[in-house]
Amino acid sequence: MKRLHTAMAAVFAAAMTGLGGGAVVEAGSFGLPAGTWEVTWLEPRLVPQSKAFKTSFVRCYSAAEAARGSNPVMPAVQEAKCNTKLTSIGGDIVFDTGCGDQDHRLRISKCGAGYCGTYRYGARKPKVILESIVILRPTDGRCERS
Amino acid sequence: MVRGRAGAMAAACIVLATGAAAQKPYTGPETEGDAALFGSWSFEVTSLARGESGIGPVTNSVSACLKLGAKPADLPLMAQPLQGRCAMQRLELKAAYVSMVMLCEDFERRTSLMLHLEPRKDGAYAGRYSYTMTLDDDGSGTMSADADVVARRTGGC
Repeated sequence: MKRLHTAMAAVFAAAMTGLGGGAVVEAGSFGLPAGTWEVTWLEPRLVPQSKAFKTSFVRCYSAAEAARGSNPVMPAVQEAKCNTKLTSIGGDIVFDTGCGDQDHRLRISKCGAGYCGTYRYGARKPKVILESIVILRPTDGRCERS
Repeated sequence: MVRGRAGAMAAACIVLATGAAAQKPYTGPETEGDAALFGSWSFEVTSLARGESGIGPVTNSVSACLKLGAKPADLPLMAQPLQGRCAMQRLELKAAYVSMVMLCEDFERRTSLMLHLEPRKDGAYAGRYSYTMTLDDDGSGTMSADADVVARRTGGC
């Protein structure tokens, strides 16, 4: 109940400060549920020709990762060296991951039985930006990690 | 009223027929520019990609023979496949800049490509390449990439 009050207070405070992108809520009882997810990643590949590159992989998102609010799309090896903050913006689930001078943002919302959204990554040097389409679908596969 | 509806349907049929014809692969216009700059070029493109161990910058190189009158389909970095209705607004290779702007649209996707390079002191051309694709099919959404490009003329071809 206290958590709900905190979240509501955050929504109210954000609304009062006039955030154009929607209310920002700190991590609480929301987030991506633990389980096995099939992640579809659509990214623009530029060389030799520019085209959409599609790849899929299965991600076991453990209960501990869900509780921590880990970024479910970033490769785990990389995520271990970064800091992820889970928030909610305008009802979307947002994972902001900072790795040194790199900023990653996964923003997803409910989409059918799963979630879909975008993965935006900006590097400062060289100044390059990537925005990919991300689709997460629940699968029946077992997720045995705790 | 009936005549009006019939007229509207006929117009819709014409529009559909025109749309269907416009789905042929795009072929023109040709490259313009200073003849001295045409020849063999290498493009070094740094963009971001997702790999097994991380999401980070990746540099790839591509070479191309740029000839006066080359078609967009012959050029590196062009959107593939070139389909739907495309409008090439600029495709120039000049001493002061290298520039390309192209927009394509069909029933499922809209693509925009923008390349702008300017000369550096060492003779290379450097700048940005922006590529955006909006999909309307099952993976609907927008994806984009802003890349860092260094291009060098390596000789004739």
